[in-house]
Amino acid sequence: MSAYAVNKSASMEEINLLFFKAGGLRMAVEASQVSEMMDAEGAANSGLPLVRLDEMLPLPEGQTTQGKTFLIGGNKPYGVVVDSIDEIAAVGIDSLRPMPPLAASGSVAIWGVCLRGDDILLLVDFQRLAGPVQAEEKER
Amino acid sequence: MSTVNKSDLILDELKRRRQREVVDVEEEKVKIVIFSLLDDCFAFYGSDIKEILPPQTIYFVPGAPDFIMGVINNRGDVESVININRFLGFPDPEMGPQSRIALAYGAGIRSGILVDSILDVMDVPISLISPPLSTLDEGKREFVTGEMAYGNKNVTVLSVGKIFEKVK
Repeated sequence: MSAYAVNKSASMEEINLLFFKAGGLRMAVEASQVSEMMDAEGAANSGLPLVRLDEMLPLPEGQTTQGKTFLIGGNKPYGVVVDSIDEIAAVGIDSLRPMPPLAASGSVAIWGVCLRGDDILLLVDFQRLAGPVQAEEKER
Repeated sequence: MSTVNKSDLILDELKRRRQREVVDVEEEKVKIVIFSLLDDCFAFYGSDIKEILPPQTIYFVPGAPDFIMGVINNRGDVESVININRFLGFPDPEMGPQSRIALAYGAGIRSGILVDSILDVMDVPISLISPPLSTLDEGKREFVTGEMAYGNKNVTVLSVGKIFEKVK
């Protein structure tokens, strides 16, 4: 299994974000939510429940299945499959914005956006995704 | 026989005109932003439009309502963009070089609205805006405040407030 730890340190004025792509969208998650990143083989061998992000969010292009997996820790750890990982970077909180009210009525897991130059990246909260995932596990 | 000098006649006429009480009443005008959607012309009241933005990337937001095309980065402010075609029964728009995003405010909400092109921004006398046509399609009527002529075209005046009331 190829796995490596995510640097979780960041000051109060900035946040460590892990930037990734899924379903044609560029997104970011707070790095501290991810305990490990694994390749497809490692994820398959881990025995953990895996969810594809496009099963949790309506993504425009769907997802590849051979992507990277984020291991989300907690009482019931699980993996979230994404298409690719871009970078991990400390980002000033002044570059984060809440989602405009009309656009915010969708998934609770999308909690805001990060501005990078002219680009907008969606901020995803995997802890908020965890609810449906763990409920699914309970049913099994 | 006395002759009347022409200059005297003119002076008399000027005197009469000066005595005539002239009340100059300027009719109240309202600013209108006229835009196109497909082959039809629509308008918003200018007071509801804060900015008109050029075509730019609209970022999709998963799970957002289907009338929300996504969000834009307007000089550091993140704004939602409404697909107004959904309210008017038109097919979904495509962003082209003439497309514009009208940044509108109404009913306590601020959002962009994608239009095919901006045709004009003008001051028009209020009297030129007539009540909505009674033959107007039921679906559109709730968003329409009036009709007016623009050249040989009919312009349907839409209420940003009524649209935003519907979506909030």
